[in-house]
Amino acid sequence: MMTVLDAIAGSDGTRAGVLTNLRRANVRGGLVGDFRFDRFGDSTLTTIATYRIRGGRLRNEQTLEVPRDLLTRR
Amino acid sequence: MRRAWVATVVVYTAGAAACGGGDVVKPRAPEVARAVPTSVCSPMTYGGEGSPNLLVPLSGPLQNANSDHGIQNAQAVKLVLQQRGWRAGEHRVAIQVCDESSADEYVDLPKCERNARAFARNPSVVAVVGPTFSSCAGSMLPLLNGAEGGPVALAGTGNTYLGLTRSGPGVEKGDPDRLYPTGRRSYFRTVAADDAQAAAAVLVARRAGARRTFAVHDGEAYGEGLAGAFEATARRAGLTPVGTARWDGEARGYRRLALQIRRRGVDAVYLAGFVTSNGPRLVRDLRAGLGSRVELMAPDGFNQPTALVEGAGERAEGLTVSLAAAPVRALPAPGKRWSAEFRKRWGASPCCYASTPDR
Repeated sequence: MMTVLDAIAGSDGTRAGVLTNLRRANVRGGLVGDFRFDRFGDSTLTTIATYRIRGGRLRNEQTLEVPRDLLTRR
Repeated sequence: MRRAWVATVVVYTAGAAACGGGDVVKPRAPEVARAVPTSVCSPMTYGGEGSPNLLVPLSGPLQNANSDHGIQNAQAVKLVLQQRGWRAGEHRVAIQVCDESSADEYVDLPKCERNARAFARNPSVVAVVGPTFSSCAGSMLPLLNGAEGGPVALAGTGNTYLGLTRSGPGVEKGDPDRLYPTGRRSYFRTVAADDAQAAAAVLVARRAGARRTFAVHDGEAYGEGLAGAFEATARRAGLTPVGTARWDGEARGYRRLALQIRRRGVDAVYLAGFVTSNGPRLVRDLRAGLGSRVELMAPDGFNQPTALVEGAGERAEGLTVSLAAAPVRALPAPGKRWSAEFRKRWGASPCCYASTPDR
């Protein structure tokens, strides 16, 4: 929502203006870190958290940024 | 709704007249926001000075098993707007919360389409936050992208289906191009896609010392895509994928499947699909047949620990589940601070909005 509001703030209040600003968004110090959207609309962050069931509960084990060379997107 | 469009057309026409008949008509921001019909959404909410001039609807599940996602996303959006005085620069922004689920369906696609049509027709709507489900995003996108007043930006909150933005394993024929009738992209994914989840499972397997992997899927596009991505990534990562099989979500048990996998000398198995496809039974039979030394890993479709533990008992122990978000403790300082503010304001930790609980 913050990124959307930032895009609206810098726009003329039209759909085209908001869209242009979202495409250009370059978030620094954001809640989930630094990121932007690539030309397809994907965040440059690839954050995945893994959890393991232990003692009958799902417990966080690690949080990782997946290296881009392991992604299978085309 | 219809009247709102007439008002906008008048504004556009006046602009054209002022600029001369041959000039391009330049859209202008609405002066007063108008609500989308409350038959599909909550009333318009605005807490700032004067009247809002823009509207950002939020789509989320407000019923059924995933209602916590929709409720917490709505709470998060309200908190952010309150913190900013309901303003974005010179604009005054209101929200409406719109349900994408129903009593019977965790995601109601006809409702997603109705919502998208209502958003597209309303000139006050300059962007949409949500939806939570990828299939809902797939229903909304063509309507929002082809909106008469120009493509409406859609910032998805939990959509992991790769085909919303790219080609790749599991992407349905025609996607993503069919989603963007104008040819211009208007969707923004705020979480990692399914290929990142599959890659994370490969990294978990490799870290555990696995060399030979196997993928099973439930026959759904989601599961098939993840299984394909897992197999391709395992190969890239230097592991040896030895097979893929489909599990029948209606089967009574999976002992034969476990035996088939065991004979291949496998160290890690990826369960690509939904827990609702008889997942607890699958976990129980695979663990019984493969033993505790084989890594069992699953994507966010298995994020129902209570169902897993109730259905698989002790055999659910050790199962790894991935989620396309970070727990609060792994967020950078601004994220931790904001999560604390969310907890103070709403009395619960954020479960589903760009972060996951600290479990």
